[in-house]
Amino acid sequence: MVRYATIVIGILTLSSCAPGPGENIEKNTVAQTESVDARLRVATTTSLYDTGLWNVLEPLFEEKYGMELDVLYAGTGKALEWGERGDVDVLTIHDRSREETFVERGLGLERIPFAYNHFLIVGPPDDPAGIGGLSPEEAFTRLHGMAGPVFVSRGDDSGTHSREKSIWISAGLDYDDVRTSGDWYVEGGNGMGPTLVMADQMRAYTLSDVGTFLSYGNDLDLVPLVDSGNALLNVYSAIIVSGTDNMDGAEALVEFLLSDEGQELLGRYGVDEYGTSLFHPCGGEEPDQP
Amino acid sequence: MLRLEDIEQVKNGVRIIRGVNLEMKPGSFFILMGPTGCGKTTLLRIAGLIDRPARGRVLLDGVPASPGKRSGMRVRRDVVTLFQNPVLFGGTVRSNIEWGLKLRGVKTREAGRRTDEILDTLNLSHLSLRNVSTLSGGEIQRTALARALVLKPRILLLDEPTTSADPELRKELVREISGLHRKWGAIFVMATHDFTEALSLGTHGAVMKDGRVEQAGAIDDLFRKPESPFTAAFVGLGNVFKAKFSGGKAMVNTLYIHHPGDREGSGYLAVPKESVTISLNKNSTSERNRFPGRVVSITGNGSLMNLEVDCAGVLFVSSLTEAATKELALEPGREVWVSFKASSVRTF
Amino acid sequence: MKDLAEAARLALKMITSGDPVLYATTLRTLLISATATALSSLFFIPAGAFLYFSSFPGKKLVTEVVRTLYGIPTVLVGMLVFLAVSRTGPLGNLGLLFTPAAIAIGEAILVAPIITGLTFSALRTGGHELAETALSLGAGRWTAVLKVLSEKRQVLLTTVLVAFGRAVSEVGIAVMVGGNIAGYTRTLTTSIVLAVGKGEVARSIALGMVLLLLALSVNVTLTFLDPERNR
Repeated sequence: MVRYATIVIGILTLSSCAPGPGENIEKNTVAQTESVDARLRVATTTSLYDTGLWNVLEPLFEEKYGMELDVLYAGTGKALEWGERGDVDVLTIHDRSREETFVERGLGLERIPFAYNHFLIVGPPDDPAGIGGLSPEEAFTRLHGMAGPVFVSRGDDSGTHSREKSIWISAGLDYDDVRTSGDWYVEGGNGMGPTLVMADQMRAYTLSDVGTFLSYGNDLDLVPLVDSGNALLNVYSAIIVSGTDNMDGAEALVEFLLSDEGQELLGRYGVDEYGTSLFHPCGGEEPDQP
Repeated sequence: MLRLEDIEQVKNGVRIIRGVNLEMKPGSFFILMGPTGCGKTTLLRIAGLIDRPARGRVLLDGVPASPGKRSGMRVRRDVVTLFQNPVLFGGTVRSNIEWGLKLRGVKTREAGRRTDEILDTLNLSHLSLRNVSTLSGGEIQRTALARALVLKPRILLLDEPTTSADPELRKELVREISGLHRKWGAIFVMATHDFTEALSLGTHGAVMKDGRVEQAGAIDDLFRKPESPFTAAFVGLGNVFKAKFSGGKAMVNTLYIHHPGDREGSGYLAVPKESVTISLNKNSTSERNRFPGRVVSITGNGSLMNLEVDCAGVLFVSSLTEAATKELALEPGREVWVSFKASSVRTF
Repeated sequence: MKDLAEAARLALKMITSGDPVLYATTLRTLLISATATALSSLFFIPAGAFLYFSSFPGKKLVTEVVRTLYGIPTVLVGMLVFLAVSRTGPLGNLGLLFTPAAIAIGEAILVAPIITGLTFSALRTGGHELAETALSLGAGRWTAVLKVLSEKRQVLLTTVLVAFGRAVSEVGIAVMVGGNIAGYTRTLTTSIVLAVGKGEVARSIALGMVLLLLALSVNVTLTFLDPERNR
């Protein structure tokens, strides 16, 4: 029995401090016992996560500030809930009205826009509904009520989902009616990437942020059909969660995102791979309308 | 001295041991007897500290064997039980025998020596390193006996150790047990159904019935002076006598009794009361043992009667049907002939 | 979507060429699941033994409940552990959420009924007889129980392996309380979820193969340990 207990303790010890050897993209694991606060937790929207941006930001930040950054991805709704429970230190999300409510309720310190891009309405290249060149609201009105699976919604309370809802509303439709009006409207309940994959498989339309779309684009038979209009502006903000016990780390992360280095990196991200940048840096100010 | 004090045991709401008090002195070989279900095994398990009694205590030299206490632990080390159907641990014969020694902190070398010794005593040396899964029934029995005996406990409890053994092994086991008891003078307590074993091994004993001790005392008193009809009925004989054996005959008082076998010296002799027949005249029977006597008493329980007949100072008990008693018009004082076959005589 | 065969070829290459992330994830998964299994065994093998050796009213009911919980949904355990270790939960100040430890705790809870139940079953063949034999030779009650567990070590090892198999292949807990943090709480199963979501077919297949390989080796070990087969 004693021998057995020793083995158990051995395993426990091992697992709590085992480094991940040879992880170049991933980072090393730090001993759990060191300090709980040594780790900084940022909850990011899936659309931001799926672009792979954090794979670049994370090692740079960790090296520069000497702390471990844990990147958790979730829809904006879930990220806000984590923030409210105090389970993460910083949020990087994209849903202005809910972000403002969050700050007003005293749950977050300040909403700091650090980058933006646009949402796209994407669909099959032959555009069977003929929405190419329409305004977002017109495009949605046309898709509404068509036969077959036509539109795949995130359906996960994310920032993108909330934007989709507001477009339906500004198109003069009641969202609950839209949701329940037939098979044409598919609620995926997934992150941005999986939703794009789903739309591709169903030869349907969906609303996507440009970043995720570009990073998935190669594998998908989908093209952007509507890419302009105020309704499609997509602003990413950072919010420090009130009462975080890693305030230094949280502030460091925001500082890093707004720094020249961070902003330049954001503005350049994607150029090598897609020929165009995925984000426009906006240095803490609300971006001008396009 | 091992003392069982006010022991009570309850199982499924039924009191299966009801207020047992027993004392066993050092050097005694104590036999527990009684019909199946009388509580022998239950009592043995309590004495062996396997089960806790619902009430009462087990004391060894006045020290209670309370579980959890240091003194209780010491008592536990001094008490060893051999079950009726022993279970061996996985491994070899040797590892089984050494387990209890290691438990007691006996050094490896000393444990090895003692194990060799007991293996030799029980003729198991050749099986020392055999895996127990390859042993025969008799070998398992002897390994279990060795595993218990090697500990040289102050109290050894044996629950019908010979019932599952064949007659040959049985004799051998009895011989080993008896020899070891004489050699190191510990208290042995054995539950058994077998009167031969009881009489040849026991110094003291108790007869149990329905969870109670009916009678306890020296072993020959149990057989010769049953205090209750139950004990008498259970020991079943009534006819147990000290005897001197010589030349194929046994002498009890002044009576020569024919018996099978060729025993010499002194010992016991028993005649089951069912084998004793009563007749009114000498020639009506052909049994070799025939003695004249006088009816002393007739006691009855239902259709079966017990008849006591005094033959020259030797009191024989015979079991007769009520009808036969009436037919022969038997009554105290009547002169009769007692007869029984030589082959019905048992010697110890 | 790329051609499936091509993806499988790529997957094999990832495995054979020692893709560092793949290997690190595998190692991490093994450590987390092993810790969970060890932790659970430490508490619930004794719990199973207790259940077997003790007698109390409702014992039958308890064993039935334990058996029913073999198939407890991982997301249910994940949710409960999340609520418990979240900052605002009762264990919030331990800061366990989104750590490998949280996954290990969740998985330990997940396999607890399996370990308890299978330990109980293992002892049902001859447990009392062995314990009484140990007692009869002078062992105390604790020593007797330990002796029985040691006599049953082979079956208990099987139990532990079955539990490990369940822990290693679950995904609900790892996602919910681990958060699928790259390089920290990402396991084989959560990697698969992510890779499939991203449409990374080759990586999904490679991860799936490794997971399958793990499950297979557990199974092979189990077969090898089967006493029926050893005789």
